[in-house]
Amino acid sequence: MNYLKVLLQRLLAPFCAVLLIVAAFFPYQNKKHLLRVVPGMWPAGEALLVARDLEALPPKRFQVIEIPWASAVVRAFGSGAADVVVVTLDNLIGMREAGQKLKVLMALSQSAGADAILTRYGIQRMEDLKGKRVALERGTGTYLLINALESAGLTQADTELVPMFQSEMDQALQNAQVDAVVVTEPWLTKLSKSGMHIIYESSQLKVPITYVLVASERACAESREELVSLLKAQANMAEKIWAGKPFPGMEAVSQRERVDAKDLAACLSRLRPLQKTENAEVLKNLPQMSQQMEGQLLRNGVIHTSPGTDGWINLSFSEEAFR
Amino acid sequence: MKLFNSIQSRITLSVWLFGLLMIQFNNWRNQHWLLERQYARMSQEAADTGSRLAGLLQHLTRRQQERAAELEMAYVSLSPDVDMGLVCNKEGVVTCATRMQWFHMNVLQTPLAEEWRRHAEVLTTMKPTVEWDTAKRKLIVMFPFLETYENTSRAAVLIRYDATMALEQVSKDAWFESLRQAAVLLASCLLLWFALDELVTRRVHRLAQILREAASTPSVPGVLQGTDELSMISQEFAGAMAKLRAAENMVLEAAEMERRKIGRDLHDDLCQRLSATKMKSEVMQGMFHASDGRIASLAGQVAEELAESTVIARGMA
Repeated sequence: MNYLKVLLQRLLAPFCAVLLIVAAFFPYQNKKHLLRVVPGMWPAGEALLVARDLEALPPKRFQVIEIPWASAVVRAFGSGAADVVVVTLDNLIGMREAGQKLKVLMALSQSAGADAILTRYGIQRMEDLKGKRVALERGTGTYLLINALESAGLTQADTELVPMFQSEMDQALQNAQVDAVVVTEPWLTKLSKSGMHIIYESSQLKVPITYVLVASERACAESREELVSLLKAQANMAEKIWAGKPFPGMEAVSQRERVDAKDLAACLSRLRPLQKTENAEVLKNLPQMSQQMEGQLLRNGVIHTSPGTDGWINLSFSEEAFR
Repeated sequence: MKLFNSIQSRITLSVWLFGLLMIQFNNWRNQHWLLERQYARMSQEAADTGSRLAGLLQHLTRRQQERAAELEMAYVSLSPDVDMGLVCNKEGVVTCATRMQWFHMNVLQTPLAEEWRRHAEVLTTMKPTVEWDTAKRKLIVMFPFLETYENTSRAAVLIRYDATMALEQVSKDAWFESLRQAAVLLASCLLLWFALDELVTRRVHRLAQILREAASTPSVPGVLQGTDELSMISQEFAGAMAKLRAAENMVLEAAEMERRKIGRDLHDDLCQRLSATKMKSEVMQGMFHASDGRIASLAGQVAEELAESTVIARGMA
């Protein structure tokens, strides 16, 4: 026993030396970067932008980036330029099909008329779209259009799809370059004021267009604290925005969406925000909703393979945030 | 403090202190170099981005592609170093920005008002500017372009870079590298301490023990194993001790022989003579006793003294 003690004392120095050398050459992971959040320029993402404006998301921990196009938001996430994005469930299916490593952390809101198909006068029903030119922005509206066409017994092949930015649709419709457009808020409110006619809208969908907050797996592993703060800020701001009265930062939202206060209220009313309590329930139903959407998207050739079903939702972040 | 009295500890401590000094110097040099490189990188990136964006925006605005211009601006803001940016015409109206809420606002109402005012001459000279603030934390880049084919339709891209995080990261990287070096140095010093302990200190202690044993016992001292300097000292010492022991034995033997010779001489010669003289004195005492009592007494005293001398001489022999 005594011999062992002496031996241990004797070998203590080289043992410590080996430990120090191992520690010194351990990989350095102190590259702390900002959590890059791209909410997209639609009303569903406004809560995060207002949180940024009011410094509920400190600039030392979060970089909130404004990217105007939905397809660009998806691309930014796919290239790793964004850690967190707000996308629709149909966008998400495309991202999963592309094999992106992601987790859905929260369901934010559902479209209750915020997406619609508008036409010029003379086209009153979906059936009338057969053989017509329909404008569509890449990354948004495909799911709505498929459903609308199916409800009238049509397919995408029965129409001529014209890729176009939503900002160009008003002009294109006025100039009769297209017969119908698929738009989302705030463009829907703007175009409705121009006298366009809604022939199909998102409240008619069986599976609603759901906006979800998606984070990369890397961000989930490295920035848990920031993500929990983000969910809290999102929920708090959403409560204020959809409270039905003026809220801090409202002027900035109006300027961003380029609508006045009245139109902003109209835009927001067409989105149904999901309360903290509803979030968990919607997230649990999300796989089922996604499966239904996938069936339609596969049938119409929007996606080519069904993405895997395992592990793309993480409830633990919202549970921790709303405990 | 007793610990630092040993040569082993002093060597280790000296190496460690010198190493720490070198690491500190290297950290200072490294930070300086990394910061300079970071400044150069950001200045280059800002100039490239500003130039590219100005050219692109000139093309897009002439074709009234404002949304595409917005997207370009958004891509610029994906850079973690970009704080904010905008595009503004000579009337001061923002036409595009990293924050959409500034659209169609006067530039002086935005957080970039001060920077715009400071570099407003860019719209006159039409020469781009890339400039760090005095604290070297913010980098302003302003590139002019023409919105239409008219020379008066002047506008400019203004981007503000915030280098704070990047520079903090550079500093952290340099310190982490120094920490890594310090850990390796400490590990090396511990190994040096261990090696000195095994190769020197323990052997010196063993050598000291051999010396102590040599002083207290008459046997030939042991020898340290090995071929190093301490073993050489030990071997030389053992050799010297062996020679010393041999010389000592020779001296002892010589002294013993001399003592025996003296003893033999005393016994064989002096003692015999004294005994004979004593006996003759006794005879003389008998002869004098009959004639003269006083002379007889004196002869008796001589005989007694000779008897005592004989006893003393025998004792020495």
